[in-house]
Amino acid sequence: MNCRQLLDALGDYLDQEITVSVRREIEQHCHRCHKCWLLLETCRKTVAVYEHQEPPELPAAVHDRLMKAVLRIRRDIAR
Amino acid sequence: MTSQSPSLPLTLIPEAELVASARVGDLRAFEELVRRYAPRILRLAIRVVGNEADAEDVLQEAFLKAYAKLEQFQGHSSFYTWIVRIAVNEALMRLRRRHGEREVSLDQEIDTGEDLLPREVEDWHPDPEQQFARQEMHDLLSRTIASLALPYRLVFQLRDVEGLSTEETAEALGLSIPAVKSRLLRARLQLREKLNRFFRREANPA
Repeated sequence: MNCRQLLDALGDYLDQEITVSVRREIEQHCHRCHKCWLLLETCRKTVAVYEHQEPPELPAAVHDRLMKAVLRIRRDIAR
Repeated sequence: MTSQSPSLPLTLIPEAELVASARVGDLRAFEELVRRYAPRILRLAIRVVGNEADAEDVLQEAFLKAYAKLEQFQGHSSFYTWIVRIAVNEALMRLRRRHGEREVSLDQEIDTGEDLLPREVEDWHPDPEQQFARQEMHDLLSRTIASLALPYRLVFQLRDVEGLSTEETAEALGLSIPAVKSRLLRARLQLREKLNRFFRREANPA
């Protein structure tokens, strides 16, 4: 495996959707190529930092406005 | 409450039971679905339409549509995946009204294969999340993802932030599975490149 082929396999590697043999090729390449190892690691961290983000709390006014509108629809449906 | 778990607090009731209760008119069950998912849907909407006021409208429209169509919800997917799909459609419709159909195409290919090749590959801090205060980190990540072109931003948001599968993302956006995969890789590489200067070992926290 060369650097270009590693790049092609990178997405599936990050999603853990690769075969054992491709994974082994990637790991062997990374033993030889520090740049690709760093690329793999920093891509993994990129995904992780976004994955770990909790969304901000919903403003109470937004929640209340939504539930009032739901109530109106509910009354319309019941009618 | 028609739930099969009457003694459980609402927050612990499984999604499918909440949906079943909401369908037969239990408003508290629907409100719990709002509590559970609205913060994520609002964040998603902000990432698509780019401002809070429009995003709040998208959120409201999406949940109202879901409520009105609850009868039609088949349960083939989770309620969460369903509301994400509704919200994405609402958000795109709003963008198209604002900017015109052509500008908001998800089919656009913006860059060539050359852009895939990473430029700056440096060692990062072992745990970038420890480098910044929570709010700072939130702002930094929001600004960075906002700088991606819409087709990449949207695929990354659905796959890596909202946790939809490749298939669910493809369905929500009307894209093929290879298109989702190639956009996701480009999005991840672009974000990695943009975050490099903040997270590399030698960087001073902003």
